[in-house]
Amino acid sequence: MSESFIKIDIFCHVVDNLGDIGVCWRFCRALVRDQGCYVRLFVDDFDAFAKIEPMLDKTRDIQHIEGVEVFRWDHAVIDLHYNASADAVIEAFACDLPEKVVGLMTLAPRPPVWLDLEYMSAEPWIDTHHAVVSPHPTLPLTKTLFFPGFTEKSGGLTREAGLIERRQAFQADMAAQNAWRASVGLPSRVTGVIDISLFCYAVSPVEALLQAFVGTGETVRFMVPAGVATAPLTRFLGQKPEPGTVVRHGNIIFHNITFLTQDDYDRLLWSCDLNFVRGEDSLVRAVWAGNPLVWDIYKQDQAAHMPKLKAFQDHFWGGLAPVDREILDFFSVMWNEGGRQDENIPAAGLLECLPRLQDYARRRSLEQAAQDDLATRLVGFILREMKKQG
Amino acid sequence: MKFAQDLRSGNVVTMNGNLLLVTKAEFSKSGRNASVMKFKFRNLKTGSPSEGIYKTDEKFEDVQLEHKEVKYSYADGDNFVFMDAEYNQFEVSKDFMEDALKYLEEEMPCEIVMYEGKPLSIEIPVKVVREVIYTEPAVKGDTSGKVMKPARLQTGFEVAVPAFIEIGEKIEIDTRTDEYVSRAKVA
Repeated sequence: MSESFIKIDIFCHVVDNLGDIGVCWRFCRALVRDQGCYVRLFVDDFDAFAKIEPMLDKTRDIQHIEGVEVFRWDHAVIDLHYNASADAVIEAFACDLPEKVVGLMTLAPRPPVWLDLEYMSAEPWIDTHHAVVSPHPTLPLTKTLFFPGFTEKSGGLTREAGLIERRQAFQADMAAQNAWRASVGLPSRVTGVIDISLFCYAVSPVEALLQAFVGTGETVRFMVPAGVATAPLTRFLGQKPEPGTVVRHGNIIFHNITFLTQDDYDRLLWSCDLNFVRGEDSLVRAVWAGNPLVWDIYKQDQAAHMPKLKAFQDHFWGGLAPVDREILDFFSVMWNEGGRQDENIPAAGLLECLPRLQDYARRRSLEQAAQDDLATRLVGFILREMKKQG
Repeated sequence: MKFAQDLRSGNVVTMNGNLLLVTKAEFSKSGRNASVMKFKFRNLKTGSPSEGIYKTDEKFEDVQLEHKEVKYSYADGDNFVFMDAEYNQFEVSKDFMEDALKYLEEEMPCEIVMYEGKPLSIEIPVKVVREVIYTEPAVKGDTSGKVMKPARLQTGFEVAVPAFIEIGEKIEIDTRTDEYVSRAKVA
């Protein structure tokens, strides 16, 4: 707990998928639990939010969940209830703040620290762009773009206090893993059977990937949350993957489960041998899981995501033995650029190197966790800026 | 008003009552098709430098200053000399033209920006054609344009180009983003 009791307003505009609210919600909880901040979270899509936070009551405009004061972000609620700025105002992922909020910031005797929580990246330019206090072009305020990242000079990554210790304890306790698995409808761990979690975008070459694992002859179990890759899985399995069902296709088995809460998704990542993850939030959680991972990055125009993907591969897997790196890079590119059925996908090679990848991922996860997390860095920045203002 | 993404080295903006010259504009692609600009400014009154990071759709109040068409002539120490059609010479300090140095070549047409009757900075064309003087060998068969590699220009500045580009080829570059546009059309 820091000495601060700073008040922070966070605005989250859900554009698509669950990444925006996923990142924000985890971050808000860390600010409250670990940093002792008072956080008001404004979200414009309660349907998306409810998918990852079952405690959310979609009928209520204002409510407290896990210490965070949650507001429905719509014009009427802002008009009625937003009457003063907090110490810091954060627009998540460059969403535009409501006019009333900006107006109050301008009028505040001590203007709030205005931050734009940006997209995470492992690219080197993040280090020179992060936390540069910039005068607003037209208002008497400053605004700072805060870039989460993997280096000491970046904004860091969200990691709650004690996360790594909890993960290590869980991974060392097979009974705990199996008990948790049973609670979400997953089978116990079996020696010699590979468990893979699958979370990907709709455009990912799922069928090519699955066919490649069929070709290995190894028993592989896929753990798939509801709503993920429904169309390709339906084509591949010949039936829709309904939550709670188990479908066998030769040597591979599908365990279709309900969409998990953030804490349960963590446990899934902790208890699988390999994690296919998508977007920003689940990548970071997979890093903390310390297990091998393949990242399905958010696709951008003009393939702008590919340098970001490469930067992550270089940063996280940079010290891997070349032969293992080559296999992992193959999957990374294939998974993000699209694969074909006739491509020679080295699935057997991937399974063979999993133990080495796991040793490496555990080490890198701990190295990454030696850095301060995003919430710590952000609160430190806010306190410094508040001090400057007197 | 101008969007941040349209501001270039040589533009002048007003912020909090200060006139700021853009001396460097750096474009970076962020997440979900968003982009950011990093600017280096120089205060026209005090000469002090500053910098700022902005979303590309942030709006700035730009100041229209007098422009003259000139061509780059030669370097004189830390100053760069430009000449107009009437052979008038204009000197611009290196401190005021960071970005332009990436593409500056003799006889390069550009516009000199005048402030209170004095040459202040230069604006270079949005697109320029430059020869690649060094790059790694071309990758045979890769015509997708997705795989990029660095290519060095005469000025020493490096641009990311598709893997099929070879030494000696002329390429078109967008000077606002420092991005490769295409192979230059042969006249």
